[in-house]
Amino acid sequence: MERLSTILKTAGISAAIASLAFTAGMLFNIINPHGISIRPAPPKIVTIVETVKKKAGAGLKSKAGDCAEKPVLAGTGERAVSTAAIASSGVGVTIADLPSLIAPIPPAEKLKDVPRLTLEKAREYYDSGKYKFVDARPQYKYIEAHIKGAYSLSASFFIKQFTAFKETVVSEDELVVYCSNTECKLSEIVSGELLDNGYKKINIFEGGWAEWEAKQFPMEGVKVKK
Amino acid sequence: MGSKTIPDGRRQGEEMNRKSGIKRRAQPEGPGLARLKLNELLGSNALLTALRIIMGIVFVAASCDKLLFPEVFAAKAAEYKLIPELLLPVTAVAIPWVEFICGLLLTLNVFSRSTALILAVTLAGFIFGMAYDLSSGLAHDCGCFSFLEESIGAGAIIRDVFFIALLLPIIIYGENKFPHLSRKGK
Repeated sequence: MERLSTILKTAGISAAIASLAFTAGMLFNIINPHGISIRPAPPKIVTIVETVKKKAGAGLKSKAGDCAEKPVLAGTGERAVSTAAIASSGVGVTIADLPSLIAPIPPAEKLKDVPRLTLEKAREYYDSGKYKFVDARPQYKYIEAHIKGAYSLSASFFIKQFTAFKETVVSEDELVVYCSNTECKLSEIVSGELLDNGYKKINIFEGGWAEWEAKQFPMEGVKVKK
Repeated sequence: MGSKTIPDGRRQGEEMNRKSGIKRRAQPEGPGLARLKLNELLGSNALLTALRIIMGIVFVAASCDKLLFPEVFAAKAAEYKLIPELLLPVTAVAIPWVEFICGLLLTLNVFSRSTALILAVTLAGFIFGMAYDLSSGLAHDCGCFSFLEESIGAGAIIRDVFFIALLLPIIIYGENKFPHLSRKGK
């Protein structure tokens, strides 16, 4: 009986502390300059369930037990391929290069006509103002810091973000797609998806965020010091 | 000579017990003794204080960046497929504060049993979320410590299980009091 009362007391105090923390979080969110809207996003609309075809891209070695054949939700921006396979395809790939849900890496021949930009060329294009920069890294990386004026089109939530993206960036626009660094495959994945969606004027900035940040070129984001 | 080393009171007590047929309580031996010693060790004040301070600091350190930049944490949490999209913003705002306040209270030994319980439940949730995503063959940032840039995986799960193991002695043997009030009560 005494033990039961101790358990109940502990659970009660735990609930009270959790409620206190929850309230503190909500109140702080109001005054926090980086606070977020706590109004929930519209619910996911599941249209069809499809099985992602197992397409091994350039350097992509599929392993037994990969998730590529698992049924996944389509129409919500979620298409799956094993990220372990991507990790095995490139040395020095960091977690920032491994989104949770991504489309397959497009085959090399699909992207053979896509120009590859050096840092100098990317800066030149940036200064010209004619090119729209697209950040293919995970969304949290984009929120932290990105090339000033770039659009987020992460490989992990491509279709979800693409709905808003295509309203502001039309298929005739000149695009520069980048991700973390030369080892990163996300710019290729996103470029492949953009090509599939009718965007033809695509360039890939291979050095990506690492080179841009090293030179302290124009950037913005919640963790960029102004 | 040997009998002189036994205090008089105890010898008299033993004599009375022998006459009235009362046997001395048997001392635990073997596994029972080991369990008793383990209980004593886990419940010792020094160990509990050390665990409280270590775990408190770990959780406060883990929460700071998340509570200052909830949008970054929300984007990381969005990668966890177990969190419903409807609850995502609330989760992103609330979890860092739960970690921060519980970490702080744990360090200060305020309701340490309850705070340790909350943190253990939070860790269990993280473990479950990671295991679910890993079982689907996914990989993404774990959102545990922003300064680690760590992926979900066996390493993160084992670490969280270890943290739960460190919290268990506090949950079982820790105090559940507000120290200032309990001192007044004495």
